[in-house]
Amino acid sequence: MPNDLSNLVAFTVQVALAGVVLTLPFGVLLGFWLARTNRRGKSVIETLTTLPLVLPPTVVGLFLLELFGRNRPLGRFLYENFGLSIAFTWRAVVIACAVVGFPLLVRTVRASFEEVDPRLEAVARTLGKSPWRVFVTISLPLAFRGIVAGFILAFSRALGEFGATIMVAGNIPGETQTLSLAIFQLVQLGRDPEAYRLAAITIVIALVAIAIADKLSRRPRESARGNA
Amino acid sequence: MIHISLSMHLETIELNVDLDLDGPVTALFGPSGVGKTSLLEAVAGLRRPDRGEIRIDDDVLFSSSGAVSLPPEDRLVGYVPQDALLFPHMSVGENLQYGSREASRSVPLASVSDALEIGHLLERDPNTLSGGERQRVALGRALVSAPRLLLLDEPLAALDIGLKERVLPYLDRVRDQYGIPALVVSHDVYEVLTLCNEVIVLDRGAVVGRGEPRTVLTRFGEAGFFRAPFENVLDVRVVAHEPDEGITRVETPEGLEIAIPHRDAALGSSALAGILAEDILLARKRPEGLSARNILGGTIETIDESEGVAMVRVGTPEPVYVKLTRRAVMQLGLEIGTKVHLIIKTHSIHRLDGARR
Repeated sequence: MPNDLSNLVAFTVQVALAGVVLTLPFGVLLGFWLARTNRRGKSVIETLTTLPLVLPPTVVGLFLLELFGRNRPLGRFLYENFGLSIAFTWRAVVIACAVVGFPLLVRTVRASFEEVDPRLEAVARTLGKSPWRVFVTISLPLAFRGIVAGFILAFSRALGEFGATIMVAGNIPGETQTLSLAIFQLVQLGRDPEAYRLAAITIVIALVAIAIADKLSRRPRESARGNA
Repeated sequence: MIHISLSMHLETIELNVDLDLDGPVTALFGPSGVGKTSLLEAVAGLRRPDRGEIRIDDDVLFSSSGAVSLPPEDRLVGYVPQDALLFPHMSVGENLQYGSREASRSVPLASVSDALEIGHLLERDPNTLSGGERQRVALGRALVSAPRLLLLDEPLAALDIGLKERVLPYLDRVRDQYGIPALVVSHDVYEVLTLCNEVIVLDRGAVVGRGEPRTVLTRFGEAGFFRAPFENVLDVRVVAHEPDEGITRVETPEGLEIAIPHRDAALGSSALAGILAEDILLARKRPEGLSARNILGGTIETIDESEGVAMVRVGTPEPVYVKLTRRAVMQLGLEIGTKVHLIIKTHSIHRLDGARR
């Protein structure tokens, strides 16, 4: 693999991973909260988290640009206080990946917590464990498979991110260009064979992700014992 | 002593109780949907009453006036739900260990697993256990957490009759060995009679009867029984076996002889025989040519009616309650003093071993 190609693949996987890993703790906690709460604010939060999934990615990108542009309040604040440029840097790519993957993460995680009988948690409380201990020892392990599935789903979505990324990060080779952006550019330049090669690489990455997910999501007790 | 006074608005009823329990084992008895489980959950801290106070000795678990509501983990109350609810991702041993506290106030796992005879299951996956084993493990898990009070929600309801008879002795043993006071939700007369010192009858959110189980449960009279299946319970003694004919003959203290399904039991040994009031037929003339083995003559002593249902007490002389529709009472012209015959199929009679009271 030529150097810039391997750089491109590595960059794409890294930003997608970073985006999902950064949002994982929030996604898990929010998914748990949504699965257990009956509060009134729930539907508002639900709608807000689903929004990036149903909006055109370019619109999501537009909002992100509005937030993080150098001349926008948040973008300016980050730049002036921390020297951080966001828009049109790799950081914007990570943020775009995080934002588009998040709804898939939360929805999958939430569904897997809903599968966990809350009465198991109640019994664990009566056995002397605090809500946090119960979450860590009961809810989390029982929802583990769903969390892995949500992670992979969000990662795959982030891997193929195009619309939001191109809006907020541009398509700068060697800086913000990911596999899907590169494929788009190659096709525009009429370099179809190269585009197909990148497409093949994307497919391989996706298959590997699914294989890893499959392995991780075996229930720990089953893999540890090899039976049951 | 355990004090529970609370009112709580449930879906269809208002639960209102004011109880002092001396234990050691108290039954909450009544039909389903009258608030028994909600009451247990309130004591365990899993459901918040609207008003009231819950105390174990002088320790306040909940008090609406004092604005106290201890979280479940600080109540030291063991809860054994109806369906065991073992943690499916842990082995049996890990389930048992889950609630163990610091050494000073923990009950050793070895002692619990001995008492419940679950030592050989420790490595097993809870999903592979039988119903009776699951219940024993759930009970053991609660015991290891060294509770001050045990709450058992229909511990035997999920089990068939044969299994019940095999699990009851363990509950008995736990009661005698650990001396932890227990509150047992039940709608099973046998369970209450063999396990509990006192029974509290709940109906539609209120206490409608209370006392020594024998007295409360075998003497019909509380309105609550119109909705619950009422079971006649007779103290009997085995007098003869006729295995070829499939029956065992037993006798009540009054000398009433009845045939029950054949079981191995020593002649002269005592047991409880249970007959649901709705399983008994009543006839004004002695019927002939019936397959039912038990036809007992008697005299109607009382007739209680409510909601179209009549409970007729027949002195045989042992009082036996028969559940009829009001229509049947009218059509047969039944009244106090009427001579009647009770027809009871052998297989309508259940027998429980190990009864001690």
